[in-house]
Amino acid sequence: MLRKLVKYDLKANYLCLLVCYAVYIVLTIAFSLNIKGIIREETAQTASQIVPEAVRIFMTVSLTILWGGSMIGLLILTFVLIIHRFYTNLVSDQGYLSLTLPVSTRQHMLSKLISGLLFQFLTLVVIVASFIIMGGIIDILPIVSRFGELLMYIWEEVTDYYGLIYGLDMLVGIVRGLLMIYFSICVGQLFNKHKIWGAIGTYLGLLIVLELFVGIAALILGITPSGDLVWLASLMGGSWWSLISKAAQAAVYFFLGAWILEKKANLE
Amino acid sequence: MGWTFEENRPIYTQLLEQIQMRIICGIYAPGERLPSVRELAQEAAVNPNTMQKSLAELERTKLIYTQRTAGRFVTEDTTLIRGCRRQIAMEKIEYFMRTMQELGYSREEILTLMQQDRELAGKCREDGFADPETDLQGQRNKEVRA
Amino acid sequence: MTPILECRDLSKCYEKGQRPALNHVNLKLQRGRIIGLLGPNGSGKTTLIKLANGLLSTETGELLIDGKPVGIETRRLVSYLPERTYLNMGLTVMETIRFFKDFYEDFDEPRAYEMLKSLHIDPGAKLKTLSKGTKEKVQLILVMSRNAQLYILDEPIGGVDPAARDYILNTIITNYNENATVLLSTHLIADVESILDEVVFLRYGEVALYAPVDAIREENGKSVDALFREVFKC
Repeated sequence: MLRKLVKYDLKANYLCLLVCYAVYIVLTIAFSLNIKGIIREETAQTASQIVPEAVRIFMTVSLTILWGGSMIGLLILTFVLIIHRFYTNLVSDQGYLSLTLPVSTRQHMLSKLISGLLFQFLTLVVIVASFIIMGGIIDILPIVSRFGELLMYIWEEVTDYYGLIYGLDMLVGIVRGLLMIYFSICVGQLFNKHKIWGAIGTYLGLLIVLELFVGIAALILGITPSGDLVWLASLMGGSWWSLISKAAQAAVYFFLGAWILEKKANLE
Repeated sequence: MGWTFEENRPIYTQLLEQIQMRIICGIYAPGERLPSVRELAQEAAVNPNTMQKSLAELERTKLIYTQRTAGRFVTEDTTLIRGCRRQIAMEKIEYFMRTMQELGYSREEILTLMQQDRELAGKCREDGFADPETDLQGQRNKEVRA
Repeated sequence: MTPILECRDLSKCYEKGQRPALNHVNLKLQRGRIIGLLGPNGSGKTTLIKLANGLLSTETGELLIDGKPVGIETRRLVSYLPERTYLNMGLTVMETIRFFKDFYEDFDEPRAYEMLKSLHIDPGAKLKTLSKGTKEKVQLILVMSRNAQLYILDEPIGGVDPAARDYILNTIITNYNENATVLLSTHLIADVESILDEVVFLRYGEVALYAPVDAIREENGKSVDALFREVFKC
């Protein structure tokens, strides 16, 4: 059943995302070609003879804005689509179908989590791929090697013991982030009116409380006898403490959210 | 012959009467197998349970009988059917007489009136008009045969 | 035999201090019946239906389906038609049928296609391109193509034309099996009266009457529709 749920969750959004990925890659290529033209002296000179300076500047600026904007847009869109799917499929009119399927609400939550993570991962892959494409087109060593260096650095970080925790912490952080949104939407259902505002309020509330809690805890724990602030940094991320706390939060959001959908459902 | 229901009486009794009527008219011939409950219910657009109840009642009066595997059949006992027909005829006459008496006609007056009506119908035929009653009967027979 | 649906002292109040939507309802619905759930707007029909499908939570009392509290097990037994369009409008009719087949073991695919054909609905059409009435027909086809134990139909004939209405009522008569119960809520009593075994009248969240249709006709010398109009006269 879970496999089928995930299948339909992926099916619901993949087309929209594929189109956006394609647009983004096309923009990346256009942007890269333009940069390449500017960087190479001989082409730049021929270009300046044909196309007026102002037009070239305008083109470069607008392409840069478009490309940068499309990358940010892609990240936002991925997020919006994931949230939209959860909302429409489970707690709007379609919830009448989804929540009456012979499937547990935990399976629904899990399916939404898996599909959401998959889409986020895909977007990440596309963005990394776009950098590789750009490096290939522009074909200048500094940028490519810089990117290579960056990848190597990340690799070292991850393979390093400390880095491994950091990587795990990030992953669990992403899971927690997604579940926090899902959970907030579920809590929003408990309100008789203004369910969406209830969800947004819950999310912001959780965010503030958690940050505040972490901040205060860090402040208290940070003042260690030795007086250094290692504790503070480790609480913020990349430590076992942070990892465990995030995993615990994720678990609470998951089970409590599923419980609300099962026992406290309140569809309009 | 369509299925029609009056608002103010149980559907079950009305179904009973209408099936009985069909047996008397020969739409369901003696010894013929009846359609299934579901088919009949669908045809009459009624609840299958109600249809079932009416058929069970008809079974009690022996107008139809069940053969365990083959389904329900109309009785082959034509005397029984004729008796049933007669009974309904008497009921209709009684009802008619009552209404007429309420209108202030005496038995004799009613009979004369009916006689006059027959003559009128006969005259219609002579004049080349179709007699409405026999025409209707003819049509019904045709339907039955079909 | 356990009743297919049973309410024990069931109450539901949406907001504290307000009149309850359901007030101490006790009800036992048996198998193999077609039952009308009747009542004016706001009498608690939809609340009862939502509770039976787990779309609302029970507060006091119990609602049991086949003797079990509402959950995954009971969802397998119940085929539910809500009073709104609840399908993913981006899918085609065919994809939606596939969806039902994926999730319901008791879904009869050939039956669904047969009904689509009789109602001249193109299986390749996207749901959002269909008219409101056609969407409702598609939903009813999907719901009636399951071999469920309990069909809960909320206003199944509200928005369709009279010809389709006859077809739908016919579908209800022919498609449910002898052990299944159909519970249907409607305003159009006169249209469905002849296919009902029993009716439940709800008033102010309470069961005002639960009786067989023919018993009502016999006792009152009038149709259920006429009785309803009299009881709920404004």
